[in-house]
Amino acid sequence: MVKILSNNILSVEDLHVVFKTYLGTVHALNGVYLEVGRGEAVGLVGETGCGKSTLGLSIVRLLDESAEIVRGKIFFNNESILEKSTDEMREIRMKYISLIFQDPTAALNPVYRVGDQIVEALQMSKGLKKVEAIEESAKILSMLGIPESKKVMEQYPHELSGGMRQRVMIAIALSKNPLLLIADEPTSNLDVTIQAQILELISELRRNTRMSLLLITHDMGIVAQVCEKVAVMYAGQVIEFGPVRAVFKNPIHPYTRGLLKVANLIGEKSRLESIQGTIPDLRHLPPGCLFSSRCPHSFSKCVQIRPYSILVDNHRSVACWLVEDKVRYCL
Amino acid sequence: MKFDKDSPRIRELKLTLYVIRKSKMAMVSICVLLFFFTIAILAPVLSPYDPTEVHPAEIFMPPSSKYPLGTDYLGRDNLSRILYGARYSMFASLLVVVLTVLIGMPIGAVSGYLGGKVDETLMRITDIILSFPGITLALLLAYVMGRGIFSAALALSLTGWTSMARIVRGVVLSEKGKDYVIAARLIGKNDFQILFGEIMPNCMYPVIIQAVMMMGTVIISLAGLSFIGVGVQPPEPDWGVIIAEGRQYLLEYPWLSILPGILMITVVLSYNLVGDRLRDALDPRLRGELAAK
Amino acid sequence: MGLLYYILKRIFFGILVIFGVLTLTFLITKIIPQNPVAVWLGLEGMQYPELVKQVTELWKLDRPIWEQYIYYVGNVLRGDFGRSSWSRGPVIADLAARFPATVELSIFAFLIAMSIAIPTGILSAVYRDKPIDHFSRILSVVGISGPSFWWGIIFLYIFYLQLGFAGSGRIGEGMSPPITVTGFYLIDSLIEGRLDKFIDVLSHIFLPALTLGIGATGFTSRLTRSALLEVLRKDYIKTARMKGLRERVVIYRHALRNALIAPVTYMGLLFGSMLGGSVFVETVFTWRGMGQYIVTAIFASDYPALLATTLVIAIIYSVANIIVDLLYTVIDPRVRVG
Ligand SMILES: Nc1ncnc2c1ncn2[C@@H]1O[C@H](COP(=O)(O)OP(=O)(O)OP(=O)(O)O)[C@@H](O)[C@H]1O
Ligand SMILES: [Mg+2]
Repeated sequence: MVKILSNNILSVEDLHVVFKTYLGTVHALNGVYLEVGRGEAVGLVGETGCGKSTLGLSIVRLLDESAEIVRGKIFFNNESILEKSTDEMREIRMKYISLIFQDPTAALNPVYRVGDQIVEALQMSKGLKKVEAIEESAKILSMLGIPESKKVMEQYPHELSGGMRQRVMIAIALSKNPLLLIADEPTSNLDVTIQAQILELISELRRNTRMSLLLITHDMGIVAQVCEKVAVMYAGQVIEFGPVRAVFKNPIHPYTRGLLKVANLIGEKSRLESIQGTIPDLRHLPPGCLFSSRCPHSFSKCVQIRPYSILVDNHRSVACWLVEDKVRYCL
Repeated sequence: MKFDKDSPRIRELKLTLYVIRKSKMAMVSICVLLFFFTIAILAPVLSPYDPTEVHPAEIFMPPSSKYPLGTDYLGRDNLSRILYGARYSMFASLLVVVLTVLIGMPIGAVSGYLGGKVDETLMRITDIILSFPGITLALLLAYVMGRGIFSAALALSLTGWTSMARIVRGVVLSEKGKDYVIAARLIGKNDFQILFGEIMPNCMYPVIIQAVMMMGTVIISLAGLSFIGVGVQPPEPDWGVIIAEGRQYLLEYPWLSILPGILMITVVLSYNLVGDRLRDALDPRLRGELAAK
Repeated sequence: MGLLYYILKRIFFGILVIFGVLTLTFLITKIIPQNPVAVWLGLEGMQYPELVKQVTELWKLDRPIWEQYIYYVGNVLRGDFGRSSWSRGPVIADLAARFPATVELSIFAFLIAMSIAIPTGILSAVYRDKPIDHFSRILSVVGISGPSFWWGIIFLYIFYLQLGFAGSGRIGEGMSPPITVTGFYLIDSLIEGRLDKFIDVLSHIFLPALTLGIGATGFTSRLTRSALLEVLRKDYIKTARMKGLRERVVIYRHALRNALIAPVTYMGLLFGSMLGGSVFVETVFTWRGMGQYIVTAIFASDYPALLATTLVIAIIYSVANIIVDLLYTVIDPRVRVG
């Protein structure tokens, strides 16, 4: 098959990732399809444990040793990530992809001053001299709304508040002007004003540099505000993908509908209901649709065969048998 | 996996056993330990001679059908001495560890549960005990209590309980604020019931791991005390004593000292390997990592 | 400023603990099933009630216990550790020569242990599951599974009896000990300007030091390995990798410093294990230090000597612990606030 050069900065195809543990093999990703266009912002949503962080780490090949990429392809800038050598991968991480980790406390080295950690990133990606890098880091920090940034740079991570650490983490990620920024809940520790300020900064950066964004979050509001597209994950699969407006206005997958209802974005606004049940045990997956046990609309086929993503409306895809039937019905 | 239907505690137990069973090294170690325990128990049956019986006419005999491992400087049968020596290493160490648990666990539990002044005092006492390096304090206590295996064992317990107490205290501290403890208090359970009925079962694994990990050190310390002369008293045949006696004749008859040491290493190594595996098995962070290999 | 406060606090607690140690040894003197006066005077002397009374009063044994305690502490603070009931001289005089012998041996053993263990631990983690890792892990676990006195005997047999290396004592038979300045032969021989003596002393200290450090070596190597492996799984290592740093830089700049916190926290304990182990190793290598003195005291039923030596060893250990804790604040910035 000839791979046509696409306009996507990132595309993930049929990605399967497992973690091997004493308790058995955890199937964390079960055939993920995802595309991020150049300059585009994609929101990745889904309840806890559905594999969002695992997907983010797979893209930069920084999964734990217990993880294994069983199958699938990842293309960054039309090049296959999984076939890159260690040095090529290093170069990609150094210059082109940034990752904001979910837990900023764990992601900063406790024994070095935060300034040095930002400076190091700048020296690597932009080849700056130390003095220049120090100036530049101070500038980035003040852009992130940190007054007296020079003083903050002198401090150790444990001396900073959670929100401050998160901004340091963001500074490290933004320092290299990446082509793709993967941000794993980048604003979860910040208060609303700072959060808005930072999201605005990221949006501005995207306008200026055509940086693409994969934004992992729980907050549908942020997705609506920042992203053009949204991918909804469930139990290691992207079960619905499409433009934010279309998906939020007219969710197709029952899970998406439930999720939006919980987020209070659609439906009867007065009643907050959560989706019944829990995600299936990722150690032994049922053969059928992974959502079928919780799905109010499931029928016999759902329990037997796992649905694959189907294109609807040209720009949207959904993995649900209800849709196939609907499509067939339309024809 | 197959354990999912059991209650959490049973599941934990089964999982642990499963993880241990999966390790060949740990299984071999357990067999080695069982072997040495068997030898220790059956020493009177297996030994061809009384271990203290001297044969003045047959000193330093090489191995023969009469004396399978030869004789020592008093003409005593080496095999019998080594078999009997296993009794001290295997059982006295067990006694020490049991005493350690019996002393350390209640102290740690009370210290962690009551907190405040009691905790402060008990922890300062452990600080003082811990500020004697190695087995120096045990040596002193053993000597003060009179030489012999029991005072040696008691001395090691009186200095060794601190680590056990600290572990239990740590668990109690982290558990006592949890919901189930508050619930137990609400339904009218008293402190004693809460501490020993509700909280302490959580200490089981950390205590077991610590106990297994201690065994090796205790065996070495006991042998050391005997080697110095405050533990098992000659002519009784402890491995430490045998090593000390053999030392005088090292040039001509090195095996007298070497062999008991090798046996001791085998036992201690087995305990250490089992302990390592147990610790890894119960470390949730390692569960993923180990199985990945 | 915060650092200074921390240091002062640590020293203060160290002193408190030393007082605790003093109290404990004092209590032990009180529970000893032996009358010190009887030991001192012997059977003969005990027949003179006048003499007994005199000694009892001299040692304040007729006073209330708290007065005895103050007397005891006062004596120790003045460096008076009592008299050996065997040599009859003040214990402190006996210890004067033995103290540096043990401290020199322990420090040297400690340095050897660390300089072997930390590099092997790092190699083991970096080349995980490679032959070098297996080799060093097996060696470590076997090392910690054997008693030091046994390893000492094995080394003596191989290197001294079979290969003819220097075996026992601090210096060769034909040589006079260096002129005492510090009491450490290694340093004193250099001060004296005698390289031949220095080398001889070095060859004598090496085997006992290796023996004394064997347990600490195995322990530290395992600890360093597992700490480094654990650190390498941390998110901040992923952050470092995301910067495109080379693997070597990731390990040595970002992982190692964090991984070394673990061995450093144990250094005090390990140095203690050297002091404690000196009892065995000095016996095996006839090293005239405090450990050997303890054993001699035990065989001579010399309580004052035994207690005093134990006390001195505990004090050295407490001081070492204070030093280690201060060192710890240097490499881990997180403790500085606490
Ligand atoms: N190192 C690991 N070893 C074993 N299982 C893992 C590991 N990391 C993740 N998992 C499992 O993989 C699944 C996906 O985890 P992941 O962290 O990607 O979820 P997430 O969507 O990011 O959740 P959250 O919203 O809570 O961050 C979970 O079931 C998790 O338990
Ligand atoms: Mg996550």
